[in-house]
Amino acid sequence: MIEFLARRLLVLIPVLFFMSVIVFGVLRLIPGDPVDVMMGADQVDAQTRQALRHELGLDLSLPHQYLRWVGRVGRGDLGRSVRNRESVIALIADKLPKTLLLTAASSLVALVVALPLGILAAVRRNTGADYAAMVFALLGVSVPNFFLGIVLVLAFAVGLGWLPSQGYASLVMQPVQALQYLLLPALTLGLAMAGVVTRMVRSSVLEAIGQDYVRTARAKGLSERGVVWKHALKNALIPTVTVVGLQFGTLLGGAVVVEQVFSWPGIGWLVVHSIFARDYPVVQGVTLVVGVLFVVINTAVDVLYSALDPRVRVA
Amino acid sequence: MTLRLFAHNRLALGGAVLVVLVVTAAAMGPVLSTQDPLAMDLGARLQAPSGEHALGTDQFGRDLLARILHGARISVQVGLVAVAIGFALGLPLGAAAAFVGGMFDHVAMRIMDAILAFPAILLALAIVAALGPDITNVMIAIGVRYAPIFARIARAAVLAEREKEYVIAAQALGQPGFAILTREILPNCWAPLLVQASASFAQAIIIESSLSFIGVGMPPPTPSWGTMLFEARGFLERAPLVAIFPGLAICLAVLGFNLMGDGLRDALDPRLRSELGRSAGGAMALAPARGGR
Repeated sequence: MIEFLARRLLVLIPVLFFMSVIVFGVLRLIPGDPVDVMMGADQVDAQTRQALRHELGLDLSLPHQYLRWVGRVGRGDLGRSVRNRESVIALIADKLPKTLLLTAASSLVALVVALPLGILAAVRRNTGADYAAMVFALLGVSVPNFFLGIVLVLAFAVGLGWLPSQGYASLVMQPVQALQYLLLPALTLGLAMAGVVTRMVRSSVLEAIGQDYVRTARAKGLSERGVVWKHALKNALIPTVTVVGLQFGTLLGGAVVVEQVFSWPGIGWLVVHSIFARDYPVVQGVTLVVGVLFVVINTAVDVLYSALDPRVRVA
Repeated sequence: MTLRLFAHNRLALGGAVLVVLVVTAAAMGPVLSTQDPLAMDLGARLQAPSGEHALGTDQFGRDLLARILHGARISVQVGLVAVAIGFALGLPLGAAAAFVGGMFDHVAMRIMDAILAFPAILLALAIVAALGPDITNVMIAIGVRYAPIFARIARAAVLAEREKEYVIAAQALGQPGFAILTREILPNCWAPLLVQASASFAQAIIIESSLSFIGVGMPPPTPSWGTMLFEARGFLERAPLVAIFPGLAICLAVLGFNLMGDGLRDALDPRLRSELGRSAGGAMALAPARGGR
């Protein structure tokens, strides 16, 4: 196990290095002088422009710029917003928990919907219920989340008036309003993910049902319900939970778009507003943090999976 | 066998029909609707579907059908070029990584892992933010994110093929390595790449429309489906159809490419062939989970 863990962590080093090169490189793709693009060519005096150029390290050679930037990132300094001079890390620390709350709630929605649906589809394979579940799963991966968000707003906010169409409230200060605001964006993101998870649950349960130990359980007279709940489901849950964990990156990507639909003030909202404000240090910081978070969570899920299922380590 | 299995899979056929419809709309848009997608008529704003405007009009009185047909052209163009870029970058890299092996393989695949670590929409957003919002940059951004996906598939396919007897025979005949890779191995690796291309096409449509919906993709007044949805948000209560129609267009196009991809995968997967051969039409019931966007 320790050897497996060490191997996974070792692979992380080059991946993180190349990720940093990509994030650093994207800012250098800006055609022309990035300071002109950010500040406007004639908007500020030469001294301010030179100060910003120095702060961003643009007066240095490219390798020097990279080393200085990566050194600062290593010390937890992602620079400052060009617009309001706030520290990028503080901006992210303010917005990230809101996005994590949204993604956690979405995962919950996905599991609550996908588990019963996937099990039903597997147990009643090739029946109407199975096909209905699979059509739902297919729609989950085919309907773009921003359109689903708009449809849910039309139904539950505009039509029925049950829920607010957009906004955010603190879960600690105003828990009831917070949940009302959370419900539609979490449903939007969660239902899209439920499509993928339903397919996974279905195929995992189907695979488990075909195993020898399930046949033995049936042979000793256990009811079908007992076979599914006590034997098949337990084993089918491991890959399901793994898929939910690995969907984190997808959820974060989805959150970027869904946060725009519901004006949810998370990192997706932050990155899009920073793009419009041409605040590139913030765009760079968010991209790096989300990428690193994704890689770290994937590795953690991988390690956890291998702890639960030792066969993975051998593979 | 492959075509027969595909033709017997009703869902895959349905997907192919949707794909044909979208591609026809893209190619024949100006013929199918004589209205100008950019022509404004402020006296006819937010009209319901009628004989003159089959799907109604938007907030500037522009014909929705003409705009949706023009949007199909953008979606198909973005999907096609983005997949081609991903393919052109990923295929040679993945194939070379598998064939050369060693340090080259290790470094190339770690770079691919690093690109894959960013959520597709976020990396595309960052690239488009730097390069500027226009159709070429959107296609480049999506294509770059696709490169690792094609590289991984090409690498796995080449690794599987290179140990087979026909490759060993070609080596014994003294063929140079590059010729073995391009003439012997790669022609046998197209199946998984084709399946991925169909799924990637669907995702490209979603990513492009998401970028346009956020406001960093196709700039108005270009009638991209995402831009149309973005603009329609301000009129949801008065005219929900202005949002519903372009949204449905995206869903149908994505559904078509997804179904076709699923059907292709099932028809090309030798493990599924025997079972599918027995119960053609149940292809979807056998479909394993696939990672989303």
